[in-house]
Amino acid sequence: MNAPTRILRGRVWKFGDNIDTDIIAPADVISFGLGDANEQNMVKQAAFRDVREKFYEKVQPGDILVAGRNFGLGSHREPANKVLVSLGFSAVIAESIARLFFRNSVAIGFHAFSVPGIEVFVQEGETLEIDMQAWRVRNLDQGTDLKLDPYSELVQTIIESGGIIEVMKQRIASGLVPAE
Amino acid sequence: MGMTIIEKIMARNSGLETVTPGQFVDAKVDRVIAHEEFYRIHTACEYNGLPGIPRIFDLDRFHVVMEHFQPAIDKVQATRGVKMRELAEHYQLRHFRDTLAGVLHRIVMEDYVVPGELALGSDSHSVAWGALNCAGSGMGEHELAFALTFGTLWFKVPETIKVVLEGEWHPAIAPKDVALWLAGKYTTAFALYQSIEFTGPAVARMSMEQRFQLSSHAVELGGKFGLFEYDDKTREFLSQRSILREQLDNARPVSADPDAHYTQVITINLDDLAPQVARPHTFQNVVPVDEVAGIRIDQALVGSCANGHIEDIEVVARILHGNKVHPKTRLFVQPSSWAVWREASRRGLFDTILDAGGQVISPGCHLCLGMQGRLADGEVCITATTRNHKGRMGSGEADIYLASPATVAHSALAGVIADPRTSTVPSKKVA
Ligand code: SF4
Repeated sequence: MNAPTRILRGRVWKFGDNIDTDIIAPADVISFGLGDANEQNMVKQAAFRDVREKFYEKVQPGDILVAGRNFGLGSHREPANKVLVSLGFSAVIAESIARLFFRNSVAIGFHAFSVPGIEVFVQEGETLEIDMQAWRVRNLDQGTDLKLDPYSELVQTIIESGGIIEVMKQRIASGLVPAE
Repeated sequence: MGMTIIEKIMARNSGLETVTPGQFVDAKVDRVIAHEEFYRIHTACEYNGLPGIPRIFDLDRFHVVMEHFQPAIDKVQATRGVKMRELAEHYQLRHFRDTLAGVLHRIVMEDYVVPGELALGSDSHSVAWGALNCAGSGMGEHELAFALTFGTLWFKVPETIKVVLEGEWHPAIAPKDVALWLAGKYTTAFALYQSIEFTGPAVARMSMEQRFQLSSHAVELGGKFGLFEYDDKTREFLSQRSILREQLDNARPVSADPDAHYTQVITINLDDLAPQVARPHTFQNVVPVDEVAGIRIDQALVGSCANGHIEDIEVVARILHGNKVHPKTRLFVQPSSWAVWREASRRGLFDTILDAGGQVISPGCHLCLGMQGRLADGEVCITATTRNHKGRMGSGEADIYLASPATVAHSALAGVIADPRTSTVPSKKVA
């Protein structure tokens, strides 16, 4: 396993409150499909289409998604988490994040932070630096800082392992096979 | 200090005397229930370099129900069905329900959910099981792969909000109105990361189906769990179960201690509550019905895990009885299970709906999920389902309003959003 990346830098895309999973990954394209490359491509092209046209053409690798309250509410669908990865995002920071969306992010090893105050802290197009050693977010255009709540140890381990299935593999490999 | 329902269940399943909110625990999972996402649990393992789910902790506590796409609407869904059946064989599942469509949550409350348990579902509305005093919560497929393998999963013990209901259930007021009112006042982040307990004198008087309606919506209120205490009504509902009786007989229901700690206690007097409507495109964009009365509607829906039950269909039939659905409005009713279907049919409710010009479609999630009854640009729909997100039912340029079955039925007759308390359409009793 590579050493975990503790500093992320990326250009910001901003969204408002209550961005639900129907907006992120519309039901008609997942339609409980096969989860294969074809589906992933369709989800990518449809992601956020009802609020931003052809969003997939605009996001650059490493960009950071900033949103308002309760980001990712609604359906449990994991394609909504995975599409942030396939669009190229390195992290999402929101005023708050829906429970299931947060858990799913952790479970696939994707960074998701609840940071009250983030909405006024950064404008679209500015660059943020997320520092997971000093636990702060820096607005590189404004030179301002905001505190980041550290992940709990457990959450950090899962994310840095690359997701919960990697943790599961490690457990099995180390002989920690569950008792029958 | 006493404990809330979820604190007790978390403590019991972690082998601890007590737990406190915020504490991380590795808790035993009593049951896992999956719909078509079972397929994605398997492929999540494959994509991570495993041949499949390493192990299933207990084949008598893992239930898979094919329900979201029965009948399949396209080749992709049909193909997924084929793969699901292959996987069911491969894992030698003991509880694989292939040909009994419906809404997962209704089916499993009829057949599998047990009070006092910690159970995970592959669907966000698994909170609905809280109506049966089961701590049900939705999880994604990666976490379910882990839970199935080890029979445990990590949890952060949540805080609890208590919602106390007082007053009477007037005919024009449904649990949907309570859920909408809470979201309107406190937002869909109301119970974020928290458990909700519904209690109070008016809760004791709720039927099980009314409880399903409210517990389903715990997730629309941001909640991780939405729990009711176990009582005679719970026992009565479960007494009809014909399978896995032994598991049920060993159930250990959980109630909160009198001195348990709540982050908030919210008391709602139903006598003061008006019918509520959520405007497009969020569950929290709520106003009393009179503020939106008169808005033209093209389509009206009643169904889903929240509102596809016998009592919901009965409310619709009672209002439609002897009347006609507005000629420019389509009304669709979708029962939540074949058991509900049979009962509605036996009571003649479908005849009433058909006579009035409404339509009934086979049990499932189709309407709620936008797999059937899709909307065109500019169309307006009022629905007693669970979500009104932009684009959920076809066009992102359509408007979806959420309301109770009574409000939807009156609106279907009027062709515009109508207040069920003052609607001029006469409502007669079903014989
Ligand atoms: S009825 Fe709707 S909300 Fe309920 S499980 Fe089905 S799709 Fe989900």
